[in-house]
Amino acid sequence: MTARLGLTALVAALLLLRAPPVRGHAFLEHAEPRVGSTVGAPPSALTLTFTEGIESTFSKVELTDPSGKRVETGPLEHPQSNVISVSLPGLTPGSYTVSWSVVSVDTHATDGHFTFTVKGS
Amino acid sequence: MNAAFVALGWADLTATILLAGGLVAAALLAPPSESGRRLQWRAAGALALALPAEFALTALRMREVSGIHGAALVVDLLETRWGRLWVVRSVGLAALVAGRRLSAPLLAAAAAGWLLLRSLQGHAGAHGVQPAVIDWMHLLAAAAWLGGLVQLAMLPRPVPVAIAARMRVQATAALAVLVPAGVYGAFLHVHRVDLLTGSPYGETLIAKLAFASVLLVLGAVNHFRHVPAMRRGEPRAEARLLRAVRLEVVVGAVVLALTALLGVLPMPHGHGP
Repeated sequence: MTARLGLTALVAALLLLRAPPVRGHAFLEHAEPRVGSTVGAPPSALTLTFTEGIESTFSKVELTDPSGKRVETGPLEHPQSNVISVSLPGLTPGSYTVSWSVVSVDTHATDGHFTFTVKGS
Repeated sequence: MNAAFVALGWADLTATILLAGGLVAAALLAPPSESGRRLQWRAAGALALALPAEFALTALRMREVSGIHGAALVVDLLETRWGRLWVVRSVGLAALVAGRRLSAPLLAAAAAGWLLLRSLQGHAGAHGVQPAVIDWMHLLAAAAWLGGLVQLAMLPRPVPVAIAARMRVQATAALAVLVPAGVYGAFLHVHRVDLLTGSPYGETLIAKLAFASVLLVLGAVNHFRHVPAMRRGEPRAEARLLRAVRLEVVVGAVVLALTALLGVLPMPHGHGP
C-alpha cells in the first residue's frame, strides 16, 4: 500500500511540474508605450499589463510630464483582469514618467515607475 | 504591518488546520476525546476573531495604498474578489459551528469544502482554479495529517492499536497528496532554482522544506517503527509514538508559521517588463 501511494505521489508530482510560473504579487509584465522606449507619435493611451489579476478600485496610474507636472489622463479602465489603461491627451515631445500602484486580487500591493519619451517632430 | 499580517495569517492557518483536521479525524480516525472536541471549537472561536481582524488589517492596507476611507472603503473591499471570499468563508465557519451536531462524515466533507475558500482567497487562487485546487489539496492533506496527530495526542490512554494503525494510513495518504501538491506549489511560485537563494521568499521556502523534512522523518519513524511495535505489543511503544507525535505537532506549528510568512512575501520576480 505504501509503495502504491508513493508511486501515485511520484506520478502526480511529475504531471504537476508542468505548472506555469506565478508570482503572488502583481508585477508589471508589459507596458504600452514600452518601458524606457522612445515613440515617434504621441500615444493615445497608456496600457499596463500585470503578472496577475488586479483590483482596479484600489489601483492607480499617474503620468508626469518632463517638468514634473501631473498630466490629466482619462479615467482608469480595466479591460481585462490583469490590464489597466488610461487615455492620454496630446502629449508634447519630452520624457514622461509613469507611476503605478496596484493591488492584486489577493490584496497584495505593489508599485513602480518607468519612463518613456515622445520624440520631437 | 507585515508582522501583524504574518501573526494573523499564522493564527488563521493554525486554527483552520485544527478545526478542519479535527473534523476530518473525527470521521476517519476516531471520535474525538472531550478535550479534542473542545480544542476544535476553540479553534473555531479563534477564527471568529482572526477573520474580522484580517479584514480590518486588509482594509487599513487598502486605505494606505488608495486613500479611500470610511464606509466606502469597507464597501469597496467587500466588493473585491478577496472580500467576497472572506464573506463566504466567514459564513462557512458559522455554518460549520451551527452544524456541529451533524454526522462526522458530513461535517468532515463540509470542512474539506470550506478549506477550498481559503485557497481561492490566497496567492494560489489569484492565478486561477487549477493552482487553487492544488493548494486546497495541499491544505486538506496538511489538515488531515496535523489535525489527526493533534487529536491522536489528545485521546485517552491507552491509545487503541487500531486507532494508531488508522492514523498511520491517514498520514501516509496525506503525504501522498501533500508532497506532490507542495512540489507543484514550489515550482509554481519559484520557477528557477537560483531564485530560491536570492529572495526572502525562496529562503523562507527552503526553511519550510527543512522543517517539513523533519516532519517526514518523524512520520517515517512512526510508520515503520512505533506503530508496528505497538502492534507487536511492545510495552514502551505507545509512549514513544506519542512523544514523536507531540514533537511532530511542534515542528508542524513551525511549518505553519513559515507558511504564513510565505503568504505575505512577494514571490521572486524573475524578469522585468
